[in-house]
Amino acid sequence: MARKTRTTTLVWLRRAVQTAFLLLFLYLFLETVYHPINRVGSGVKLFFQIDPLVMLTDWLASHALAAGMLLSLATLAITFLFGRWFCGWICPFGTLHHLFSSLRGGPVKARLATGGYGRWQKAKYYVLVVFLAGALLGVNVVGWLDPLAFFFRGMAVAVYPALNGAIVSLFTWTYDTRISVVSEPVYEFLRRHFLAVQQPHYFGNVLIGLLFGMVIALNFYRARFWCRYICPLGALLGIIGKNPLVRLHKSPEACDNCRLCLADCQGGANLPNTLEWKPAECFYCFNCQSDCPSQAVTFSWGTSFLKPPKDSRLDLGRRQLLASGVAGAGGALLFRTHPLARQRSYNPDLVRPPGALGEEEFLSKCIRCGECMKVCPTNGIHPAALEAGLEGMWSPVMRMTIGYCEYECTLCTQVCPTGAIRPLTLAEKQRIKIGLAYIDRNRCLPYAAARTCIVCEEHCPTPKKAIWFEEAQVTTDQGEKVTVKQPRVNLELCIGCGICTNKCVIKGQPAIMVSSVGETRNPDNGVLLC
Amino acid sequence: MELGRRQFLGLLAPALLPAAAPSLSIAHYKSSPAAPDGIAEEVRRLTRSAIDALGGMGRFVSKGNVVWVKPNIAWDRRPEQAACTNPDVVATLVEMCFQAGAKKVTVGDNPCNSPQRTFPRSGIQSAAQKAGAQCYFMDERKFRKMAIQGAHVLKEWEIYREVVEADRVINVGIVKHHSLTGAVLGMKNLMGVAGGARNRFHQDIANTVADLAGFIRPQLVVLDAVRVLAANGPVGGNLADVKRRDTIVAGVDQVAVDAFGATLLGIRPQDIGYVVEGHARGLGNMNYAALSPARVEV
Repeated sequence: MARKTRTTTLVWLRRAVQTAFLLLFLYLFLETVYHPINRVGSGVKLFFQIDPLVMLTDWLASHALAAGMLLSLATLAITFLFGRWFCGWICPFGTLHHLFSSLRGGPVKARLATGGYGRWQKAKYYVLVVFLAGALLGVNVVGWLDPLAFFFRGMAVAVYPALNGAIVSLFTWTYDTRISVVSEPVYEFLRRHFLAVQQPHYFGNVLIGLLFGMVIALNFYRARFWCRYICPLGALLGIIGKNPLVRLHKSPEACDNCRLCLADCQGGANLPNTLEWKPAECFYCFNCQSDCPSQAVTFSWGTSFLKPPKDSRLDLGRRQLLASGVAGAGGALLFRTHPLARQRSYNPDLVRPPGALGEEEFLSKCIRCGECMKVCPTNGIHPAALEAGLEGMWSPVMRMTIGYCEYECTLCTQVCPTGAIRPLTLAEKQRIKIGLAYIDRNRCLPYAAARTCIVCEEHCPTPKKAIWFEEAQVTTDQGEKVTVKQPRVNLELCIGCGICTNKCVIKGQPAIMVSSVGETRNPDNGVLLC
Repeated sequence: MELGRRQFLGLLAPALLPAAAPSLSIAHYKSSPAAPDGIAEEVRRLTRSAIDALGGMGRFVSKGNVVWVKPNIAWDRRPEQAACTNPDVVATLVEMCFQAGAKKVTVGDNPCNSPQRTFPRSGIQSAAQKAGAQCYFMDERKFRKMAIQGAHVLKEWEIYREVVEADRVINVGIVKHHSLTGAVLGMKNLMGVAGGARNRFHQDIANTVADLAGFIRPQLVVLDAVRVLAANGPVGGNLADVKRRDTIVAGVDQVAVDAFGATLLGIRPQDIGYVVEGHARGLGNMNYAALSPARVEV
């Protein structure tokens, strides 16, 4: 039955467009870095701005939208008119899954068995309902499973650092061998165009990397597993585009029911053993048309919205929808009554990047995409574990032992697609306190060990230094009287940038630390009288 | 007093070679231009004059040499904030190296803020590249733990391999305030060729800086004192802390250069620990006046 067919031009065109968008995504990923002076590559948030799921949940949860997010209306319009082309042609995460799905290989028979529609594909719609119900109640955690956020975060936090480390290790080895004659120019090229200036390290990279690897691996179980079963953006587009003007037709006369059209179906849009097509599941990859030996599959223009395709119903079931809504709302109510989310309490370790909105508003807008984490030139921004409660998982938190907030930098405020970190001018940013430094006298060398140091003061970047000294006469273990400079923090001048923590000689738990108290964004967490 | 061969020759040299090139030169600009173009012109002329007064770059760089130029590129600050070496000083030195026949000139520093910010912001990267030098962020693979000969404290430390392997090293720092040492000058600027946990140096800063200076022993030391940072150093940021001294110091004696540099901040050389330590170790002479420095008014 497996007659040889030729891949159609349309499929080649689709592949070219997919490749172009995937490469654009990766290019913008690499461009999400510092450019002289204090700017990022242009258009780096483009993919989030055309993501209607991000727009919808952001708007539902925070009742406000960054202007750029309105671009996603175009995606909605295209989908409403023509169907889920976004998934099949544009979405870079979809393309990545597509790529791994085509690596499955195996006999046609096996692929036929899993190519068609299965009712578990409804799961993604329930996932969407959970997120939307939560967003209605002000809890926006869609970034956990939004495909673009998932992809970017996975790349930024796990894949790219691992790849970078591997490449540097390889060339560190060749550097000392005779291969270096050839390898060093290659390394120099990579260093300038691909590698990170300093090896990035992120807390949470293992979990995020594992999940990333898992959803990739699932493509070997079902083609585009993520897109079929999980993706809430795909679900949204499926609902919007379930009655498209571009429609698949199977000619009952020409079809000999060989079912080859199912072998490479990406979305699971065909019902096995029937001729009906499920538009909400179709990515318009045109593999079915390309694979059909009898030219029985064609796509053509529908004439009217009033006559939807036969099987455009989603058939989600009222009870299941209600249950999903209740689950989302219930989760949201729990999140909303957590002390941290309601600002009844503050986690001293929850220091957010400058420009981060007040905690409640911040959480309603942050999509955990990792743009700020990628762009931070000091590697200071990390995905939160439970610092902000479960609701804030993977939202950005400063880790001053790894990086710090560079005084002359506003990059994280430039890349945030939703404005959870609002855009700041340099002058505004330099006035914002993200926290305050405090000194642990039991660890600080001039206090605890009668040794000179001053490294924190030396690095303090405020024009009038926020760290000052009290000269004190102390006794060494030899009984010698010495004068040391003991650092103190000026709470008015300190902006909590954390370079003092970062450069402190005491590692792990430095003798000077930044806590969130005093942060500008949560006035209630302040400390100074005025 | 016992005299070693070197000390003996050192004492003898000025007597035997009265016309020999000086080991320290101080070039001062008579006016103090305010416009950026005027300052660039001043810096370039001062740098050339200071080197020429030492006998020209040909004294230090020969045909085919690989030269490492080590400015201060430590901070994410603009040239007018005087936290990093003036880019025109660096560019002029690079040009002079090439004129003297250098094969390759590399400009670099292991900064305190992130290199992708300090290299462009300081203006040094573009100025150095324009002059023909290699100037890209230092490569972490090339910091190698090595034995520091003659060290009192840093017996072994990570040092940038290319600096050690270069034929010539030119150290070109800037004069600025520093709360622990009193001043950042030339010798302390050498911390930028070290990797590892440099923040530990501060527990014994005089010895660690002297250890590095004794190990690197740059052939030429230049100090940018056109603008100096008089307070809130070494980072600064407040233009009110920046003072004009309109001076470039150059020399072969790194202790003497720093000793004079200190006076530009109103600090006595004997109050800078690493200068005193360098002098005691015979790395140079902190009584710079005894070297009869060549003074040039431009």
